[in-house]
Amino acid sequence: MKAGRSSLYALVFLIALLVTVPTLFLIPMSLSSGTTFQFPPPGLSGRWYQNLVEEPEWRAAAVTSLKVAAMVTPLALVIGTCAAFGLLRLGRRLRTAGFTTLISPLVVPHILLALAIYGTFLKLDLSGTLQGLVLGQTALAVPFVLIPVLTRLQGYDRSMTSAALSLGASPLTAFRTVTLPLILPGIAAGAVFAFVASFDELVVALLLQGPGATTLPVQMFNSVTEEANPTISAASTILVVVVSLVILLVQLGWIRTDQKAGLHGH
Amino acid sequence: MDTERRTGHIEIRKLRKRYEPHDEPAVDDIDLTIESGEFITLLGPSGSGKTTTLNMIAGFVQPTSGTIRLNSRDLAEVPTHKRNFGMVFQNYALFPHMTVFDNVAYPLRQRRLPREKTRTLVGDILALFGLGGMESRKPDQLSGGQQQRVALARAVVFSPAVLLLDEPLGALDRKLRQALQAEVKRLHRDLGLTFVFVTHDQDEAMFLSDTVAVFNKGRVERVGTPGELYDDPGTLFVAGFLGEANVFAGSLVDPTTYLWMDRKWRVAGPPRAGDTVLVVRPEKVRVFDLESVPEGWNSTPAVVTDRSHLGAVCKVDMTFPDGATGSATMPTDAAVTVRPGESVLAAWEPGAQAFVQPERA
Ligand SMILES: Nc1ncnc2c1ncn2[C@@H]1O[C@H](COP(=O)(O)OP(=O)(O)OP(=O)(O)O)[C@@H](O)[C@H]1O
Ligand SMILES: [Mg+2]
Repeated sequence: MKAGRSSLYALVFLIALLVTVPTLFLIPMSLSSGTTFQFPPPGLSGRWYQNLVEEPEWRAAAVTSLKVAAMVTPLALVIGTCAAFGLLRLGRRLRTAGFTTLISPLVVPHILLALAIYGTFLKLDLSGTLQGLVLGQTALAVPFVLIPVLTRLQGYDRSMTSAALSLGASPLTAFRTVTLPLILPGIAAGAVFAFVASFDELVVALLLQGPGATTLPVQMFNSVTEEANPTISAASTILVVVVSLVILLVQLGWIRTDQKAGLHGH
Repeated sequence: MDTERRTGHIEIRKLRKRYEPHDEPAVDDIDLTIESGEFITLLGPSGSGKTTTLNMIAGFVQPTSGTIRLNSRDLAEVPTHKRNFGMVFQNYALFPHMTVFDNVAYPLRQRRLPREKTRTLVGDILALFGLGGMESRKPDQLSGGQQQRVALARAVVFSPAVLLLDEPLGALDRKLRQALQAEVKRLHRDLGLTFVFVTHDQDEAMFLSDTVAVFNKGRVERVGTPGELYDDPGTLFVAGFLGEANVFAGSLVDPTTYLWMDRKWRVAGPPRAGDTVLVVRPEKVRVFDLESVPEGWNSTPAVVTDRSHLGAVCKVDMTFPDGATGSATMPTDAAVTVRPGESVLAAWEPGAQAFVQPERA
């Protein structure tokens, strides 16, 4: 029993290493004083980070990425959460159909979706605009909200709402004081996933890029094909750190609310 | 607690609920009057429409047709949160993200009571339910019985017009269930509030209620006090659902004679029209050696199949000549001579039998 447990830990640790080590190589490389992707780096310097801040394209790309993700997240949250509530009220067959449609961006090859969005947005004059980017990535981000919220809602006991109503709460108050706090962890998870889905999305952003609508991943992609230097490692490091921090913070908060709500896992 | 209270008198007329797409209505044109301050139990087997009826009273379910009035006021246009009915759910439905205090204070906060008043009311009611000192616990830190007490406290703290309870004790074990039954009964007496209680447990219904409404297939089969329903069940369904009954389907040959198989039995009072089935409660039946039945008693031959001790009484299971099974319960010493396999006469006084309607199709 004990041996089984420790070998399980060892296995999990190995998998974790396998997944994270390549990413960790980024960090020393981004701190390299050389001009190539040499490993180990010949010396340490902060020049690539300085480059990132000082070069206008890189700075603009980082700002664009943040802006887009900041708009995609609330949009996807509202659409995904409303969709989850709507789906639960449908009959079994309609629910399955609706669910499958809404999560299709996860299943359909990314490039196909991107091409379809690109073609459509060209006609609508949305290509190369910030709005276009936001709309396109929102479509991709909705499933990431829908799934955790729906899961949470399926575990939600409707008699909670009935109880609140019987105790004198209006439907709106019942939602605000009972339903919402109980499904909040699902919504928070959705927000993180949506943010991340947008922040490091490449394919749609690549096709829809334009002046003022170039995100960090697109800028990285472009720079690899033009002038490969460790600025891209610095950018990647920032991408990884931002994404990890967001996930980490929410997970910590999530564990806390879970303990508070007395809900243990799902 | 607030003493200014108007408890609810509820009038249900022709109430019907049909869930699409089913043809059979879940609740089928029921009429029911619930007196102010009464403890009424909706009793019936699973799927007989008790919860649906209660949920229509609470306002969770829209009736297909019919009316519900509270103190002569039609509730059709009154949403749940304005009905001022307390409700206790089988799974307690305590808010898991709130403390015991916040759960119980919830209805008072909806009514915008001053903070001080809220604190005193909640403190008082928690003390009344023996929950003092648990204010800051979360529901999952309480036992099942404590959770149900919190749910009860929360449902009565705001002085509702009516308290609705849907199998509130169903999830508890027997001992705890009995303890809480006694508490619910005391609560009813102390509050003087109208209680509408749903259960499928006949003992619970008999123990608690002023009035029992027996549900069967979406209809109210019969309404009465536990005593009335037990002694004069009215229908075969009620006779079988409320306690046990020996059933004899024969026919009335004249106002004083009932014919069953080849036996002629005396009839004490002439039955109502349509009541064609004779039932006798097991404790009214005595078992005799052949030929020794007292003068004037009705009797039938029977074969004893089993005899079991139930503590104070002894139960004798029998098979009657038509193949039906039945039983007699009697003081233990009266049954010592009865042996399984023995042929006996089962007998009862004509006054102890009742006539009921046969089961409806
Ligand atoms: N939301 C619903 N949709 C469709 N049919 C329903 C719904 N709720 C109840 N029914 C049906 O209505 C009938 C009555 O159900 P109800 O819940 O009122 O029974 P009950 O007497 O409370 O039973 P139980 O003792 O099992 O709780 C059942 O046949 C049930 O299947
Ligand atoms: Mg029920």
